Amino acid sequence: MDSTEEVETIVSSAEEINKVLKAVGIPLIRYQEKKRIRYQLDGIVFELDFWPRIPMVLEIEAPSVDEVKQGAKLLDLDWNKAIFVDQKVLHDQYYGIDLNELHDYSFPTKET
Amino acid sequence: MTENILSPTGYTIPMDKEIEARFIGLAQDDIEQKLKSAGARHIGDYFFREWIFACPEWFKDHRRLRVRTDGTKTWLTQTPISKYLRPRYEPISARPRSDDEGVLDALREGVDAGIAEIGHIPCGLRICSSSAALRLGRSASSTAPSASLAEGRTSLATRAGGIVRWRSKSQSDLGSGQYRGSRDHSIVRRGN
Repeated sequence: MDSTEEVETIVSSAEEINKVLKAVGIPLIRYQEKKRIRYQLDGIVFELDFWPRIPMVLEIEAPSVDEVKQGAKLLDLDWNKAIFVDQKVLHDQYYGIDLNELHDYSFPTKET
Repeated sequence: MTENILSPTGYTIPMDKEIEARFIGLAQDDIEQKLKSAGARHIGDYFFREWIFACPEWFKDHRRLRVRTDGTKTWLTQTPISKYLRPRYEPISARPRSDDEGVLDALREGVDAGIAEIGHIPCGLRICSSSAALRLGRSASSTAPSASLAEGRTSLATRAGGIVRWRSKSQSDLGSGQYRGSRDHSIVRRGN
């Protein structure tokens, strides 16, 4: 099961925080874009993710494993086909795309 | 007790822990039809832009700082090594916060990855192997040229034209009495 521990905070401006990080010397590794359609049913969140170079990825999130399984069952999905790696590894393992090699992973026509 | 938090794009969901699984090879129309039939609520459509920052010495641990925006809100996230090393089924702990401690946490978590705290209230942070520093504090004035997150609120800034070179003479022109440096140490002081 994919799991990670993150520390996250809301900032007011992507452009400004990017300037700060660049100014202090943290290299920009990659710029990327993703389209997402989100549904929610009780405590289960369903996210249809669209990346520039791969087909749709469905992500089911919930506070417990049982609820994630329940979400999969709701959609008649085979739990044995569930993928428990993050998007970067998924790109690499299933589509042969090494995101480390991409500095710009954006859609051909950028949305505003 | 489960804490409700504001997640990306603004909906609230209990997320003191979070488990996720992915599926591929599906038809969008089919999935959406099943979701609607089951009574799922369409929360929204989003377009995310994301900038991923990492020092070279972080690569081996997959650590990174992410700046992500959906056009409405912007998040700064520090992602540690955990997802690659932690055992499966261990829940996520997400702690989004919008105060200065949240910003500090996001950066301070990087200490293990090479960010060193060099100051105190507010905090100076040494980044990568460079000599630059960040200042985090609360200030109603825009004394820093680069990034005041919000006037009168927490600010995160580099100083002196965008970069503070600590342990260098350039500290002396920072002014405003908010930054004091010496040849051996740098102390970042709270703003007015």
